[in-house]
Amino acid sequence: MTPCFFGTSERQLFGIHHPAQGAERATGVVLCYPAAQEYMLTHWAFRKLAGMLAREGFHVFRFDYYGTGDSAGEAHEGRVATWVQDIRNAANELQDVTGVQRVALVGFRLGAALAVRAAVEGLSTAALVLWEPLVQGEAWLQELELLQARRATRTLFPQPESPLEVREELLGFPFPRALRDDILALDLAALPAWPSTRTHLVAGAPRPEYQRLQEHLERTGLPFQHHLVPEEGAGGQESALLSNRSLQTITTLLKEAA
Amino acid sequence: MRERICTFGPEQSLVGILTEPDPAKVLPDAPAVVLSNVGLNHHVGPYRLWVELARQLAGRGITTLRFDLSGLGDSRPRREGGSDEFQRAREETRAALDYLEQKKGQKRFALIGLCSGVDSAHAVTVEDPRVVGAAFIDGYTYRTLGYHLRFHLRYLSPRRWTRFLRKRKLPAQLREAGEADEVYTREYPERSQLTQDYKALMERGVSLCFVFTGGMGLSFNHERQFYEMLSPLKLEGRVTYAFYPRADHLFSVPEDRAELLRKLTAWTVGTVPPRALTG
Repeated sequence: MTPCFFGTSERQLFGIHHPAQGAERATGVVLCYPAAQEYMLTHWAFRKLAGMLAREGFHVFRFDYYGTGDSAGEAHEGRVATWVQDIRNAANELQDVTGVQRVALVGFRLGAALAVRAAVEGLSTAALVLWEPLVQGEAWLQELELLQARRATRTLFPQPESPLEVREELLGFPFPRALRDDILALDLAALPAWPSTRTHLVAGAPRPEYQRLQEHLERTGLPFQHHLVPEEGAGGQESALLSNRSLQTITTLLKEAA
Repeated sequence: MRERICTFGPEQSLVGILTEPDPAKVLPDAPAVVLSNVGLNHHVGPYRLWVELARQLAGRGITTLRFDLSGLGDSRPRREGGSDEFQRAREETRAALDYLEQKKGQKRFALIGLCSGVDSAHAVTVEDPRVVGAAFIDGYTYRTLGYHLRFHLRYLSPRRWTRFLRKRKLPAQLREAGEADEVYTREYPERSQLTQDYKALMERGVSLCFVFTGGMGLSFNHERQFYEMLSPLKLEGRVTYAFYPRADHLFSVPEDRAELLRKLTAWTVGTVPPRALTG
């Protein structure tokens, strides 16, 4: 693992390069983290996935978006357009450092939606792996609000008394109105254009929104595969986040695609 | 402020971020603050707590190193070093001090630990005379008579009953998941040993800060308990102390986090006289 800061000095982003082990592949992989509390929960899984991919000969890069983790910026400064640009910068950094010709993107939850946006906006990608993707921003926000309600039942603290757009906080992270509006505008199953690359959807359980996305992609005629990877253990979101089977599936998919 | 990546320690396996103030703003003789993991959270800290603390401290002229213990976060596991996690954490925390001393000329240090991070912070503070300050957040607690009295009074709390009834209305899957998450245990030193340790630290002139939250409700439930459980030391007025009964263990509510950051920054800078504050 080689940690680095990249980007400009005023806007430096923190990244970690996992160099390819053994025979290097011509395709590198950029991992696109989720946001907010899902970032905290999945950091370990991303490190593990990066290690698995590196052992298969991929140069792998994972990084913190602006306003998250060790990157510059305040937590309330996060915006979708900024983070999409960060993915492009991360892909350029990986190519500059390693000389890989092409880059595949793996995104989890919001990271998956950001990866699609980056590819739609011109980032050439060898493959897109959408891992438990946010398909529709509104549904994602509702799901996190439900988790917040659950947290309130586990503790002595009151339920949030004001709606998200007023309190501008979600599961303990600043969530400004502008970011909420960005998220609400996301709907992968309604995108008029889709990146001309192979897309894989990896999920632990079927969901109506995944079906919608599949139907949308089938209409485009672009190569698409939906992989159902049953969760291990007791189920629930947290176990899916750490599912070793999902990591193995993603590694296998990228090996086949590269 | 400037942030740089550093690698150090046994086998150069440890990764950290060094946050330094602008040279013109450096606070002379201020200790360098060292932070590491909170449970399995990486060096960023839960809810980015350590990043925000490091940047606030830099604004006050203080250098901070936040790093991952080996095998956690972005630090590689060590090939050598044995299987005793606690021993490794102590060695690696001391390695962080060595790095800052050798590379940055720092001679005085303050350690801040939260939850399991208190264990190594406490041990290194006791062992290493370079440590001049230590803050323990949700550290060691011992039940007292006052605790037991209040434990039973909780059944009179309307808030607790509201929470209980709300929980019954949840879908079964969410309810069970929430209950499973409440399982949590830690091993504490004997109270007599801890009393001796704190006594020795105060005789050495180490500045101590203790913070407890409502998240410790199963073992800590009122403001006076801290002084009661260590009563032979007569700590009142001699250490910095805060009890935030409405805050949870990881300070997940932004306002609680902001208050904790204010408290820790003020303590580190040394502008707040030791006194008990309510949350």
